[in-house]
Amino acid sequence: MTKMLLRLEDVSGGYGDTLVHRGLSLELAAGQVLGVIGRNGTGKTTLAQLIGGELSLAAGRMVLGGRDISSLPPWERAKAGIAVMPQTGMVFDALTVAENLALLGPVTLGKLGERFPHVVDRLSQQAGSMSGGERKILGFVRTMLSPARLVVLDEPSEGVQAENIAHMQDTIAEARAAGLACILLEQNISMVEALADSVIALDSNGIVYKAQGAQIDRKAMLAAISI
Amino acid sequence: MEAALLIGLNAAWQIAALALLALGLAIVFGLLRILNMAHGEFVMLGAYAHVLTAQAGLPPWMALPVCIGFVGLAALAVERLVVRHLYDRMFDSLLATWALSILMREAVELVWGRAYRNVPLPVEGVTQLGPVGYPSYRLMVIALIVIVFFALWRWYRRSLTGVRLRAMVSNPALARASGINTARLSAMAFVTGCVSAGLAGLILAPVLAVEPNMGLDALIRSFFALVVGGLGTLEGLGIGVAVVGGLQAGLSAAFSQTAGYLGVLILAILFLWRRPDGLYRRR
Repeated sequence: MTKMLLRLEDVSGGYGDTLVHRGLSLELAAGQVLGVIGRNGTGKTTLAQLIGGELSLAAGRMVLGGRDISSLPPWERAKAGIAVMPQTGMVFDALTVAENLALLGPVTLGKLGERFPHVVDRLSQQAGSMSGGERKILGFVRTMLSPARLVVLDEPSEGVQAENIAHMQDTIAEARAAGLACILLEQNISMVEALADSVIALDSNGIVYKAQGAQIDRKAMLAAISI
Repeated sequence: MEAALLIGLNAAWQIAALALLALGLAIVFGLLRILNMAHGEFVMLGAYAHVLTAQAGLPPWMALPVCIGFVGLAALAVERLVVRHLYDRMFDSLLATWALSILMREAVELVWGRAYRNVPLPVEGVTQLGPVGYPSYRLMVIALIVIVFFALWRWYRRSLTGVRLRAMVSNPALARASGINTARLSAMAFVTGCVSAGLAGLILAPVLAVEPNMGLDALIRSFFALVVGGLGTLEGLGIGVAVVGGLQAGLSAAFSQTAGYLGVLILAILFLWRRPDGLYRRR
């Protein structure tokens, strides 16, 4: 039996009195990728914020590696092993690229530096002066370099050119093989299809599609998120 | 030549004293987006550390640790009980700290009365600079401010805590998600800003009239300097105190002290009206 890393039990949450998720439950094991798909406004970003602790749970429980993290603030969740790459504001604009990375502690870029050479080439550049796609890549690199057990990536491929999306996929696949769990919140169905061990689709009523392994079907995914 | 040197020294003193007074306000506003209306009262508390030290029968040099402890504890209590609940609520925090400033003034008046207190200069005498003799204490304070500002700027730009602070200012949500305890860092920034104000009061007490309302003048002058320089950065603070302090010293020397105050007031009004971001804008 696979040991679960993350478990959400009947989780409800949203913005103040406006609940975006009601009674949401899901599980994720170490070394697995969960793809979360859905149209804009179906709660993908809210889910990332609930897992990262930026939003508080209105009800339910969240367990990471057997520890109840439901009431932990975001910085404690980061220390517990959760790294979140937000959809927007994924880098510190006022800091240089080097300072963005230095916040993680001593890190070696290694293969990430080969795949995304512009990060290495622009260490002294202010992150806020980079293009949208470049900032996405820097945010992705920061997240993948963090000492996490679970990474939550909110639309990492948005605005990124195809070649770099392929590099992102290779990086996630390697990290998964090394035991990292990943929640990939995406509208890019091809990326989800290429990486996910299981998929859920969200709409305003909650989870409307759920599949894993060989059951994951592109047509069904597209149908689940179509208007 | 002699007159020019004296005017230059007076300008340097005005700028240094203003920089010392405004630093705490700049720290709290720059890092926390809180316009601390009780800033002047923390300056006043720092000045009263001399009185507290004397009453306790301690040697005068003990005023420094007494000031840090006294103002630090007061700032910590204010952060925990009031300010912590008002981050991201600029107007509410402005009102709350304004109310707090009244409370602090009244409390000090209740304990020590309204009377003016004289604090003796820790360093007496005059240092001869060529043809001009200038008070040694003022020269020491000017040198101290230059060193402190340079060290602070380097620390803010180069140290890991400085990077964390800038990360928190730049993107608080990502800072939290990156494992930075922003609640603790914010409390630290607030207490540091208030202790800085207290130390300004402690250092300037020998040249100011120490009394419960002395903080009002400190707040207004600090605010004017930040309005002209640009709220929220060390660079803006440096530019603001140079312009405001220089203008005040120049007009005071050329006309009168009232002309100096009036000139600064008009300049601050013009900036609030035509250029509210000040001369240095945060990138």
